[in-house]
Amino acid sequence: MEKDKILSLKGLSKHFGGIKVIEHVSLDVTAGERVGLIGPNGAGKSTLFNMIAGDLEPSGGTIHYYGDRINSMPNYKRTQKGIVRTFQKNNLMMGLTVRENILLVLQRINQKHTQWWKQATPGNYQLLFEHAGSLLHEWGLEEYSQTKVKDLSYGVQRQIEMIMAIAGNPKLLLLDEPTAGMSQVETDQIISLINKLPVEVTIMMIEHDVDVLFGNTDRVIVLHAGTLIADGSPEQVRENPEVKEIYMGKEVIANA
Amino acid sequence: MRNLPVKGPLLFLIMVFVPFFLSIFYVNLLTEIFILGVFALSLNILVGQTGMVSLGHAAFFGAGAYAAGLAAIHVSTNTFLSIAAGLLAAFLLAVIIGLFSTKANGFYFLMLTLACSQIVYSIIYQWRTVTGGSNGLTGIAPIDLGANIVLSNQVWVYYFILVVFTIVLFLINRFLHSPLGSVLIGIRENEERMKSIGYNTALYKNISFIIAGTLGGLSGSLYVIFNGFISPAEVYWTASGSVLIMVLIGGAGTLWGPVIGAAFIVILETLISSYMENWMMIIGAVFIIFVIFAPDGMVGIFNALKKFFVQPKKLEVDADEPIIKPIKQETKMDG
Repeated sequence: MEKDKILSLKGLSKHFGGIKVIEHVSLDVTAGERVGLIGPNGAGKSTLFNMIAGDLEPSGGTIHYYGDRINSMPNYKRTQKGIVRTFQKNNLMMGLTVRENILLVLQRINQKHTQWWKQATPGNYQLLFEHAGSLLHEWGLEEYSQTKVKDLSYGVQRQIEMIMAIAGNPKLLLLDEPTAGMSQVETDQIISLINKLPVEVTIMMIEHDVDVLFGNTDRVIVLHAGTLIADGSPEQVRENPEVKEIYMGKEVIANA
Repeated sequence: MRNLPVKGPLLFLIMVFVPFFLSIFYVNLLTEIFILGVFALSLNILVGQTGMVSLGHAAFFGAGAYAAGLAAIHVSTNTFLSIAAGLLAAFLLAVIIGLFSTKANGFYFLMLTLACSQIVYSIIYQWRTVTGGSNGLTGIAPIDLGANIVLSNQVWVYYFILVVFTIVLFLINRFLHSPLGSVLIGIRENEERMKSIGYNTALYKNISFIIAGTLGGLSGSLYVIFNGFISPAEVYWTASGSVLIMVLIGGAGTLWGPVIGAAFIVILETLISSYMENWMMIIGAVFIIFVIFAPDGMVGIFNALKKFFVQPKKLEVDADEPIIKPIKQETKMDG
């Protein structure tokens, strides 16, 4: 029964000095679920992701992944085991080309990353280069294949973040505001590509665009000031009085 | 390298015929360039490729040189044994120093490598019974290649070191652009991100350090074969600074950069030191000029010149690509 749960958080907390950023969050995620995570700024959403991905160590509580306690497992090992994340702010190898960035992911997945005696050319690593090419084709970004990432717009970089995450064979995909700073066209494209991912891939997504989130997830979790205040289907969460209060209250202040 | 108008095999052929045309003075100069070229190539793996700036690389040169020299004195004058001893000593030293210095980043890494290399220096300086102390290691017999082929003639030493240099350059050319090489480049670009795409970056930094250190030891043992002598001065931190300057002036992260840098410094040193004693001052000034005006080194200057002159041709090549690229830039401002 433990094994059905891909992810299980129990009493998870994170304190920075006296500030309690995450306080006793418990939740289970079943394999294949599409979970949305919302909450006002500073609610602790990204901190929660950082703890799941291994970029931050929890102050208390436990994280179980497929039944194994992974509290102190380093982030690269979690990635190797299928916990793959994207970042709220673009975080890429800026001086390398788009293709080189993607190849860095693909060569690890295909166990080629320790080879040092052959140059990484399309001739020597045909499968890797074809795979990278087909991913770029799928996202309509072939033309940027040889462009350095730093020379691309923020929106395209954002898409490359997504491609790299998907190329990493995720079992649990953590998307931190995948559509932040993107045009409507790009947002629609990203969402449709997320929806095309295999059903067995579990996705947790932080998203400020509530319409995007409610329309594309089957479960929504609401964090507020570090605690979990609602957890249910999009409809249930939408009608939750506490959630309404938080979002309405914010609106009232914003309009004042 | 693809970006440079240097044709490897042609260059090798030219180098093969050089001793027929040049005096032994220039042959020796070239030999020294090849040795320091290997040294600079090894440091480039660390500095240029992995982005870890070390100021203690002379420790490996020294370890390799002293081990090779001691093997030649005490065990056998076989070249391959000497080189093997040099490689082994430098490898072990790199494992030990790498173990804790790669835990630090940036400035702290630089200071740790500097401190470690000064420890190695003072061990060599003070362990008189083994290393000869400040007098250096003397009495190293001419090296032989086995089967009674003694490398006593400087031209033969030149050819031997040319072959070793070529092999190293060939292997590094592959390594630099290999999957493992690209992991190191990824670490230079964004180490945190490399961790989150699943690379144990601490391990790869150690691998880089060990490869760089071991190759540094190779250059040290070549130096002993060439020179028949090694003194603590080659292990002092100024030697580490000098090789770092070679890498930076030549062009860090490129294949030919470190070699060009080594050639430049060796030639400059030879030219200036015959006129004045303070040649280091001139090299310092040259270095400052490079850092300010050509941060990508000489290879950077070559590439810029090439781009400048080749541009009209390049336009023709790109003619069948669409000139107007689809706009993907309309980002919305709200989060």
